[in-house]
Amino acid sequence: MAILVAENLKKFYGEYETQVRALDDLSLEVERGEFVAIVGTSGSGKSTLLHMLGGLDRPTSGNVIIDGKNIGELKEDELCIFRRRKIGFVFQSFNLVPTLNVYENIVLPIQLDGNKVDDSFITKIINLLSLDKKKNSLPSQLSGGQQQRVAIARALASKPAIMLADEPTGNLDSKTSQDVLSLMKVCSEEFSQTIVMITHNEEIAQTADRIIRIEDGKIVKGGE
Amino acid sequence: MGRVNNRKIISMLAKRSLLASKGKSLVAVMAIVLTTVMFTSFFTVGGSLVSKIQEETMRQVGESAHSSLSNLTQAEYDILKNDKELKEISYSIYVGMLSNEEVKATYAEVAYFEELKAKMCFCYPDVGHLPEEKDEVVMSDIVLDMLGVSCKIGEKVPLEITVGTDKVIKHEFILSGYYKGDPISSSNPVAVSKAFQEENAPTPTESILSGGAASLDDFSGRISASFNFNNSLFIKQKVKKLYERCDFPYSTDIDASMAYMGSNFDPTTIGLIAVIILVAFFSGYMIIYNIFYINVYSEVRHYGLLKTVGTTGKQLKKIVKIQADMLSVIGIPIGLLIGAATGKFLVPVVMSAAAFSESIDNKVVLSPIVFIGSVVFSWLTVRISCTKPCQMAAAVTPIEALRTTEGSNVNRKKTVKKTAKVTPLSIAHSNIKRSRKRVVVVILSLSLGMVFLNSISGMLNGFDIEKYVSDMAVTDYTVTDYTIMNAGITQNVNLDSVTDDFLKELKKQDGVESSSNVYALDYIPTFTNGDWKKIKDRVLSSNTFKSDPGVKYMIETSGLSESQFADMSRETFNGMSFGIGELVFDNLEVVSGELDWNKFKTGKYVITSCYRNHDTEMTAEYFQPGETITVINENGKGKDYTVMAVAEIPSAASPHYSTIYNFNYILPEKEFLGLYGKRQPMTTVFNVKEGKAEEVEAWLDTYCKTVNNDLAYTSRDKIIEEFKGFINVFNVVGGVIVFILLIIGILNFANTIFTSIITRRKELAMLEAVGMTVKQQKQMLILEGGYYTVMSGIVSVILGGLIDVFVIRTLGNTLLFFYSWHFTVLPILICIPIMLVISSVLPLICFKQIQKSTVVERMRVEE
Repeated sequence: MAILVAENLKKFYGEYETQVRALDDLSLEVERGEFVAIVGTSGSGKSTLLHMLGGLDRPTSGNVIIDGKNIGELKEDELCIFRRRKIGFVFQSFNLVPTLNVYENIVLPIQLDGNKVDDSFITKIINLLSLDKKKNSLPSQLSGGQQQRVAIARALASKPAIMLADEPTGNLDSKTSQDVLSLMKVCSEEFSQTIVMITHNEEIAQTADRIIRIEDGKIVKGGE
Repeated sequence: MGRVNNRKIISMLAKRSLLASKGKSLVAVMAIVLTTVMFTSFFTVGGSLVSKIQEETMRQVGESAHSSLSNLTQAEYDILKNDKELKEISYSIYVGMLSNEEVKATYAEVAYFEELKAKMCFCYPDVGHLPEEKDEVVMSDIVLDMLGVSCKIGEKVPLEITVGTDKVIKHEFILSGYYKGDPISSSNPVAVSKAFQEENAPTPTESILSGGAASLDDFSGRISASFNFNNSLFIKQKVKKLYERCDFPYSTDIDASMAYMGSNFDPTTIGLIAVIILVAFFSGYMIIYNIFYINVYSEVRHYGLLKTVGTTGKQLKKIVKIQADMLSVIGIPIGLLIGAATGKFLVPVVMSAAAFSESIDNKVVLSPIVFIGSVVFSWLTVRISCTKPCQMAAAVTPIEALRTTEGSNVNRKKTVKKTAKVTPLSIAHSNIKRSRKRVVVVILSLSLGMVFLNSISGMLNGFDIEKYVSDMAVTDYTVTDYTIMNAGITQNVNLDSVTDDFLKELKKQDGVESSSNVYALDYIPTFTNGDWKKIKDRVLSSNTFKSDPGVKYMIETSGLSESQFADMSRETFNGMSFGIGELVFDNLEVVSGELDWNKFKTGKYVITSCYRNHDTEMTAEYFQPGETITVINENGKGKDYTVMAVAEIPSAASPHYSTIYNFNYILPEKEFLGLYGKRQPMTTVFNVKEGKAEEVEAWLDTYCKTVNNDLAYTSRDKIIEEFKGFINVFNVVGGVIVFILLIIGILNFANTIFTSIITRRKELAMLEAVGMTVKQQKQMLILEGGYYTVMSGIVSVILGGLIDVFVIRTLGNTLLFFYSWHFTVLPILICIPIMLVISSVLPLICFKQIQKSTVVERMRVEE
């Protein structure tokens, strides 16, 4: 069963002769538990696609359906709440809250939702990502790889329907990149976590179960 | 979707980010402190003044209760007593008036007092106890002194009490207690025992509330109830409802104690209060708004990030609000303390200029209401100020947040930019334009202080000491009764005050150069038919008269038509007759005609007053120079005089009270005494020879203090001093306000400049990398700072000038009789260079800080 469906997504910027078609009638489906990598050169529209999939931005036309819900129908605040419940994000630049420590950053989405933290699950994630010794550190006291692992832990913490990763290794050296990737792979298997990852690096994309290639806002390979 | 319990995490986020940027938080706290200081000091001064006015009025009236109702029967009192809305109630039973020869001049009411009522009427004994035995009595030390009885418990006091219209009871009492009398009070109650009251003035059972049959001259035995409600708000309405509940006849002039204001704030006062609150609010708003605006803007990435991980707009709003509250929790208490201290400093200054009796102290009154009010206003200001920033935080979209730097979303579509030379000036200019809103706020904030400074100086500039002194003093010294000297006293003013003894002593002083008397009589003059016709046609029927707001009100409330009202005035026309000497004659304020003392002193001439509209200051003359009129004295005896001129008596030689419309005659002393009979002068004025002033004043001072303490004097020097004191109030109060406003303006400016430089650290480094020298960068920053100052200067000059022309001039001319307006924007012009220095130094300080790290380091900084 498809947990993520994108139907005829279009995203245009500008008008007339200067119009840019970032996404041009793109459709795709991702199955539950799948680890999908989307590859493309810079400017191919892959980041725009991820923003659409994660409900960070709205498409010019087309639908995104996550876990059976068409997110285009949600209002701004509803979308926000949907995001914190159903989607986990991992960004290239980590984007941790600098004033919160590692543990607080990880449980932030759960607490924002006003839910009780499932401590055994969080501990499991923390241990899996080898963050147990850094639990009380602030982001500024962590290395890049550690920060990205915290971001992954945060994305997993609310048991989202789907995890979206935008160049998760873009700011890391190759050794650390490999560590982070294998951890994502482990998570995907351990928790049957659906992951959609964006990268421009073919090598990194090999970790995924399936590779989708896009160019000029269209899928050229791996769509189905 | 039930209630989501996320308060904890939200407030944690709020708290952490406050602590993370301590500098910004400190600036915000300072802004809140300053705003609170303004509110608190204003409310402290205002609150103190109100309570002093209350105290003074209560003491003058002689009662502290919220309201009272007199002439009740026992049955009526019981109804009142059982009313549930009253917090407390107490009563006295009227017996009669003290009529011993020695105390004729005072108003001493004899009554039985319950304990609480005695306290309410300020006659609870300071020493001893209220009368218990039939012969016991309590009275004030003032009355005892008049009677020649010493203040000792157990002293025998023979009293004569007039009960009803003519029954006089002579009885020897024993003093069981006494209280300190109040010189400004109009009454000196005498408390007797219940037994004495019951024997001599039993309470009748017949009601006279609705103007019943009982003799209106005899109130003996009637109960007078005084009562308090839970609070002093809307007393009139409360009393009205009370009467309805008790089924008492309701009269329009309900006795709500004058001391409790609320319904009787006049529009000018309300306007002034509103202006001050608005100024405090706006200056607070502008800085707090700006600080939060900057904070939200510089943390837009942070908020965007929170939004991507699922923080809703509502939650982001809450974060900003919680931050505002947290800062308020620190800032407001500090502001309260500083504000109270400022208020404590200002109260005596302000009190010194207000016309209070000398016996009212000038200590600050700190009531909880003042603090609650300040807290509420300050907090509201903070909350209103951060409404916009809150919305901004809520509207952050995750995508925007991931790339925004300030100004990148400025709509540049319409500006077709010419390729021009890139100079520090052009870059500075475009930097300024990045955030127009903020520029406007900072400029307004800086201007507010300068405009206020300009207005205060504009006000001070117009104070005309010549005008003031010439009106307040016609000679070096003025001697009169203390009830006239004290502007706070408006009842029982003594017009028959300067004794023969004083005049005799004055003659003995060889330092006195010349002196002159002013006699005055307050009565309702009668007119011959011919004279009355002129008065009616020329004044009472004129538009000048009928358009007067006071007159309009009188006509409305009288229920008469305009012409009926004019006719009725013949019976009620207030008038004064003055008998004056040459010194005062020379200082008359002539409206028409010509003055000639030699002609005047022949006794064939009279000077008449004119009517002056309270609003427009237009005059209408009752009689014209050259006409012959008949002056009729209070006994109906008349004499013909020719009108020499229409003129007004200088305020230095007139009693300080006035009615809406009145009519004055001015005659030479001799004629006055001939027509009205022998009496003592109201006022004596005199000049002293050069070098003798000290000697004469020493004698005068001793005389007024020891020989006859009913007399009081003032001197030209005292008046000049008074005037300087008045200026001082403006200087100090205005200075404090201007100081706070300027600090707020500069703080706002500094905060804006600092954050704009710090957030542009990377950009500046980039500019430096591509070849902008440090010197050029400094130039650019100074120009940016200078831009704010120059713009503020322009705005201030325009705004300050307009306010000076349209507001200050009108205000000065209507409020102050000694005001001569001159245009000024000089204070602003003086401010500008100072501000220019500040605005170039501040950016440099900040720039130096960031220059400490190398270009490469700065360029690497992750925002």
